[in-house]
Amino acid sequence: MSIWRFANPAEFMRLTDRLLAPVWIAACGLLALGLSWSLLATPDDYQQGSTVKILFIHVPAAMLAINTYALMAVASLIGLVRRHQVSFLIAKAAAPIGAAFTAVALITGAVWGQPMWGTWWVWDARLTAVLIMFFFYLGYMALWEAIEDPYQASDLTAILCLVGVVFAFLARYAVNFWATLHQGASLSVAAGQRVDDAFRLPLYVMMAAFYVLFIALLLVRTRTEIRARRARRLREEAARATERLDAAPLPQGAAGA
Amino acid sequence: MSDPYLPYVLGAYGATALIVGGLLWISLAANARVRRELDAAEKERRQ
Repeated sequence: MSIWRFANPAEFMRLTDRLLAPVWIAACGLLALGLSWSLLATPDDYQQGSTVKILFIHVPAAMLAINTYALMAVASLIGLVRRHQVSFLIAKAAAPIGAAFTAVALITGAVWGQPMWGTWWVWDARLTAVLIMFFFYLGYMALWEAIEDPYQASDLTAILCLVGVVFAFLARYAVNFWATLHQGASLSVAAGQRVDDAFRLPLYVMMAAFYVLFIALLLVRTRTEIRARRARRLREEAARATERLDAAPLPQGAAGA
Repeated sequence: MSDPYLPYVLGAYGATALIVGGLLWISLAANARVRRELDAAEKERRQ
């Protein structure tokens, strides 16, 4: 069985119809567990005090911000190569989610930075790359809105998305390339354990919660885009049928009726 | 003793709740609106 059969909108709708409810339930359950664990059952850090609790939203949001862009880039590339409209629509549906989580990462980072670094913002490589990636998200969404023809919009937005990949890559790896005020990766297999278990385990739960919430939102938004595309096609067909009726000559004797 | 960092923590969680809540609201509202539009368009085609 080929994975490409899900590129068929009807097949995609049939599969996701069964998935939606369990995914929403899992997202709500994980969020409830993660939030209660991280807010109520974790200690304050000996240096950072209670600001360490910002970790539980900042890290998952930042990971999603970058990975959502990567997903959009892969979907756009598949769309361009294989001409699957569902791929373009998945990228389109993911953009507002990625933009929202990028905004969360930027805001929570600034709010965390003020008491810990003594500043809301610095133009360091990672922060700047994430900010530019955020602008790419906004530009991508604006381009979709600006182009009337959905097929032309699919191609042009996909190209814009692929251009922005460099900033998603920099947002992820800038801390490895340059000495930045922002710390290196908190969770890294290569660097070993850098976060104490008291924070690491609830952080994993929050990461899972954010990712499952992302999947739920992505499914809903992609289904919305597929339905919107079909509704548009039906409206266009109806308009063309009306035009044909208007243009058709009246039957003899009907003119005076 | 009051926590001097409490406003920062509440601010971060509050902003996140607003953004994610807004995204949820917009996504579900758009889904419901498009669903109604599609139902109307399909009904019109059947007539």
